[in-house]
Amino acid sequence: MYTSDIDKLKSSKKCFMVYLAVTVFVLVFGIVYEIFSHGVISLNMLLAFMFPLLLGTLPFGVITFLKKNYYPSPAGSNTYHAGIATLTVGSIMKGVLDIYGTTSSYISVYKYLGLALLVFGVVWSALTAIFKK
Amino acid sequence: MKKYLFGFLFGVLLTAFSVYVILDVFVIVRVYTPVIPENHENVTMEPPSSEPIVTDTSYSDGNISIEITTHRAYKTNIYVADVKLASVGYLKTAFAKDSFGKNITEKTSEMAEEKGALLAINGDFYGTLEKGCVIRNGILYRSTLGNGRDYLVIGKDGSFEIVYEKDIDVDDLVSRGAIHVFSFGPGLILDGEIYSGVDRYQGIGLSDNPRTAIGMIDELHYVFVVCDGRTSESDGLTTRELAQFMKDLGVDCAYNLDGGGSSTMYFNGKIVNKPTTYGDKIKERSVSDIVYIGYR
Repeated sequence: MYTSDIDKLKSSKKCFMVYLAVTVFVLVFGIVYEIFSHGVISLNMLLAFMFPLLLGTLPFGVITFLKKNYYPSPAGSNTYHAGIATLTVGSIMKGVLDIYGTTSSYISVYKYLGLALLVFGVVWSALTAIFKK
Repeated sequence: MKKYLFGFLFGVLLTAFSVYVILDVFVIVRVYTPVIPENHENVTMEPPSSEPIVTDTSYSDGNISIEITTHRAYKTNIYVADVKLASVGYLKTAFAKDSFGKNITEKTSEMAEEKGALLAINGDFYGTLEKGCVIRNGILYRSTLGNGRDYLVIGKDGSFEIVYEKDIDVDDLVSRGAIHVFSFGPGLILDGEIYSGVDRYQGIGLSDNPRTAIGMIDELHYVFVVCDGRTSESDGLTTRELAQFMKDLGVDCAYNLDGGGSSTMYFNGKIVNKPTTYGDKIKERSVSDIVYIGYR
């Protein structure tokens, strides 16, 4: 195993640990917020943790567990992480507004920007990997 | 360090944007100017034809009769104002600071005093929603649809009608002379029976909470209902419990207005119920609008 491979594995493991912590934090935040919401339920708040779980913890956990030396390029990983952050924050914001009983047209910005960043990150990383070969 | 620069800058931008969204929703005041029809007249009602008889729980003159009763059901204190009017013109609405817009709020009791209201309850808090038809005192203030809610239409004859949003035709409402249209909901009672969509708002309707509702028993005979909640002495109601309570009052058509901390009933210069703010603190909250009974 090359030094660069070990670095990539370390990066994946670090990402896995960070996303695991973020997932737990967002899950606990959502539950605590709901406890004080006087019974008003928002799935956006309760399920916000699914973004870091499904898009961060799980994929980076699999990479780490299988000891694969794959880690996205810096540009790809930066936008991918930004996409997850945007979708997660957007879901929490929507939850806050749901529980208060209000709406904002700006919430769709989180959704579309987050998805765009996510797709860009995946496509860029895939292209980088292909052209490196 | 350079490695984390993108993440840091993106985090700052995301935070700044989120702060702006929060300010836009909860703080920044925006006033909108409605288009008032050329033929619109401000209706001033005739003064009382006889000297009013006023007690702590009732008011009566030749045009308006109000009686307040307190009930206990579902471990909840419920306040009912039974209202009989000589004309629907005495059933009025008002906006906070007399302005239609966003984040413009005032306490129910303050608005009621400014308007000389005999009886007032909080309205539908239209200001928290970006969409939903708003017609008040015959003027169309907002025609945008899209919030998927039930509407209460009060006609020029004083009749109540509950309409689901997909069946709403704003132009038709205007041409038919609807005097008030509320867009909160859900509907509670229709034709004397519990409305089929009473559980439609599962996110807010299934939990015990303070609630405000308005109903029509008969021609020009209405009930304003407010219940307390979130306290040790009063649990609050689900929308279905509220509907059942109003059905038991003999209401023909009833509609749920904004609840929670907004739920307030004002009568004869005093707040009747125990409104909550910041969760369970007994304090009156500021709202966008009120429904009231009065002469001006």
